Amino acid sequence: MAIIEPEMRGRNPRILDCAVHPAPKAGDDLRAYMPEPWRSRPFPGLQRYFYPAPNGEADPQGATDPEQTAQDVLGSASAAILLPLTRGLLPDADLAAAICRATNDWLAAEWLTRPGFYGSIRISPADPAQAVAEIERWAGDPRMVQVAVTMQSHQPYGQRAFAPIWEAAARSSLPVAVQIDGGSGVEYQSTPVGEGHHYFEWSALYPLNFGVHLASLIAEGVFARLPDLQFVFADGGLDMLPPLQWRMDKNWRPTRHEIPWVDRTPSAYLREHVRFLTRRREGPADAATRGRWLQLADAGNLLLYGSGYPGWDQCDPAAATLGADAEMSAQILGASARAWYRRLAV
Amino acid sequence: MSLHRLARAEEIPPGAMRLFPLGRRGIGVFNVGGALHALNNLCPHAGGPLCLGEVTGTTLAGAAPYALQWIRPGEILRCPWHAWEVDITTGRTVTDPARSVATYPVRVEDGWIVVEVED
Amino acid sequence: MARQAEAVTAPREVAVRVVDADVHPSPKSPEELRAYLPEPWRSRAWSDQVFNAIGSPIYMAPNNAQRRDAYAPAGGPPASDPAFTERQLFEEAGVDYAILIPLTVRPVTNPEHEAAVAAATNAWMADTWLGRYNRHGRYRGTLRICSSDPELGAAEIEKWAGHPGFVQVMLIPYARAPYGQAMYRPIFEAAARHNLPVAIHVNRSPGQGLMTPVGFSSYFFEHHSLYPLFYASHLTSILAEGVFERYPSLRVVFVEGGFSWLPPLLWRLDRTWEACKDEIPGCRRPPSSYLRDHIRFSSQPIEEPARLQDLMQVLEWMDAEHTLLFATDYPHWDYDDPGPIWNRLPERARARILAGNALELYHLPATRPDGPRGLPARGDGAQ
Repeated sequence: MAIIEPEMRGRNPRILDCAVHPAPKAGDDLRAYMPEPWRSRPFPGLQRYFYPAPNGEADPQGATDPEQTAQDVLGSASAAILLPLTRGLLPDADLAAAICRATNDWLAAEWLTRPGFYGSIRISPADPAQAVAEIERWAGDPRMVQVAVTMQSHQPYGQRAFAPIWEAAARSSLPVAVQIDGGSGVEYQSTPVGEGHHYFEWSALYPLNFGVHLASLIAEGVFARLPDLQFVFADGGLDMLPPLQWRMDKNWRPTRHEIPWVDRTPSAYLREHVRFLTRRREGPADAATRGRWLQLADAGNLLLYGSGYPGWDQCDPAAATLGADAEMSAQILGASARAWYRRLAV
Repeated sequence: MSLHRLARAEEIPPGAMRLFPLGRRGIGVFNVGGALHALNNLCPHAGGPLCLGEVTGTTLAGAAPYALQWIRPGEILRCPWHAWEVDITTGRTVTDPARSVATYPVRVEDGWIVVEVED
Repeated sequence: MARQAEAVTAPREVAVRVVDADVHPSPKSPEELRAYLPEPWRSRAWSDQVFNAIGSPIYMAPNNAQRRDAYAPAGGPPASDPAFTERQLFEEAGVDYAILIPLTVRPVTNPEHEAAVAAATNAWMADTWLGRYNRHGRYRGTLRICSSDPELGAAEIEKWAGHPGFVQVMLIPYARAPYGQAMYRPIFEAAARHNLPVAIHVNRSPGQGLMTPVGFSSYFFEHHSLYPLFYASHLTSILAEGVFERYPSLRVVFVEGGFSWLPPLLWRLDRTWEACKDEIPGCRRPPSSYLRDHIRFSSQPIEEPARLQDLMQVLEWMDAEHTLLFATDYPHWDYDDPGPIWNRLPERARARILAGNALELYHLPATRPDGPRGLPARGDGAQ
């Protein structure tokens, strides 16, 4: 069910798809990759009680057939980064870590055997020691090109408990992708003022929580201390970045003395440390306004193409670059990602 | 250029500031550890009455994560509006050294504080 | 002779140039407000924090959240001395009319108590800033209500609805549920019936209300930078639940939460609505189409992008000429002057943002009596 525009059909060696979401055919398939006692433990499935997406499909879900996915995705892009979900933010840190390990083993065994597919090392930040060990277990595997964590968290990611995880990622040139993985665990309410009633509010607002993590990573000096650390916000949010960065820059000047390790304007960290993936429902719908918005948001540097395949609102290359000139389109669709993913050689 | 005799030197002891009605917004004379500095009472950020701000120090990151050093006590002025930090000894804002407040030559002559102001 | 006599008794009127949508008067002391508390609350022992307009030390703003030059020589908290406030607000800043928002009602666990503090605040305001401090008629007030118990909140609106000084109702963004949800209907119903806009403005208490969906931030820097997350959540809920369809005369004002996030949020909501409109039948039109008739933003604290043209672009995208209200936030630390930034705008947009939009929203006269304090200056009438 690829939704590639006709004129975009055919493999484009310059396109790199940074967000394809594979999933086991059945939730329990993951258990084959888990040792006991985890294999027999109850844990949330792929289907969750959640706001159904508009076309009626459960969300989140994923692509379950590597062959079909390769046909759909690698028909237009030269490579794809696979970003599977786990089972959300679980109360038992050991179970969460076990599910992450199993997800990585499953991904490596069933998906990364295909050329053109690259993987994400899923980790659970709740136990930094196990998270670091999992990063190191895969750091030597060239097929793994990034680390991935849930957007859901009990603490913003800049806070000090997480520092060893980000050090391990930076040491191995692995960007950290932050991805919404909700509806299954012990996450907090989805907005700071309570739960919205509908998918409409949830899907429009939850991605905005990137801002909490980003402000935290800057304020706590994580980027200042780890010059090689890179974060990718996989649910987008570039549209909401300019107002946030203006507020942060303005607020930094009077409060720098509280956080003196932040030794430049917060927005000065963005190009080196932060990227956003494309999302279909961001930015103006008309090309002219959208072109101005892309320039204002520094999309040429900060935006990476991710289709979101096979989600209901996946973003094709034409939608991702609407309003961009040729140079910016090339950056968004692949050039920026090639420079960003240092372990990816395609 | 004109010279203004403002006050007896002992009227602005170390740590003190006095604001004089010179220019459009006034000029503040600060005594920082015995050295005098004259600053325009106009913040280069948003036009706040800078010299009415708190005289304080500031911080620098230490070597270890989250370590703070308290530095330059008495040399930093925090604007009373948006709290931008200004280095009293240079007039430069701490976070944007390209933006500074106007400063004026100031000295003590015959026990009087004298400031030199462009006309 | 007749004309001369008239001139002596009726001061000359001058055109209004600046309406300030966000000014924070304060009681001189906790006792001043406590005297207005109904019993049994007045006799109970409360921390002064309850009556403190200055702020919570959690995520405390720079300069203790105040303009340090706003402390009157006579003492008391900033904006507690009417003469000194008039000097700074009317004479120095050039404000013609000010919308007053007292920040004396923090969220507390007991809604009856919160409602009592709100009632005390409104009675105090009616006596002072909307009463004996308002001989010049240049102040309008904001009703404080308890938002966690909407029936109590609506009752407070009913109590004051006929008072000419109160021109809007305020809700606190640190809420337990977003404001579009049905439980809040009594508040919006009462506000709409009495033609009172509903303003949302920050007023902090310690506790879980400060938490984001991914935990508590560490520093003021973060919390303040993230205000839009709180405001956007309420706006999205209000649009999704069809509040403006239910109350066609309702207007909601987002005060001190920034505004540059509005265009990208509305793009996001419009495009999500295209896909999800079956799910939210109360929202009958694209969310952005409700903007001009129902939604206003205050300008302070003004965003300061490195490129000023980015700000100008945002103002165009949000239709600021019809949706933005200038505000100073006097006497707080991040005060904005009605200064040069607005001069970059075309004259018509500038005039509407600085005054016209607020004049329409709050039904204010387009002129005010001459004289720095609204009273006849010496020599008036002998032109």
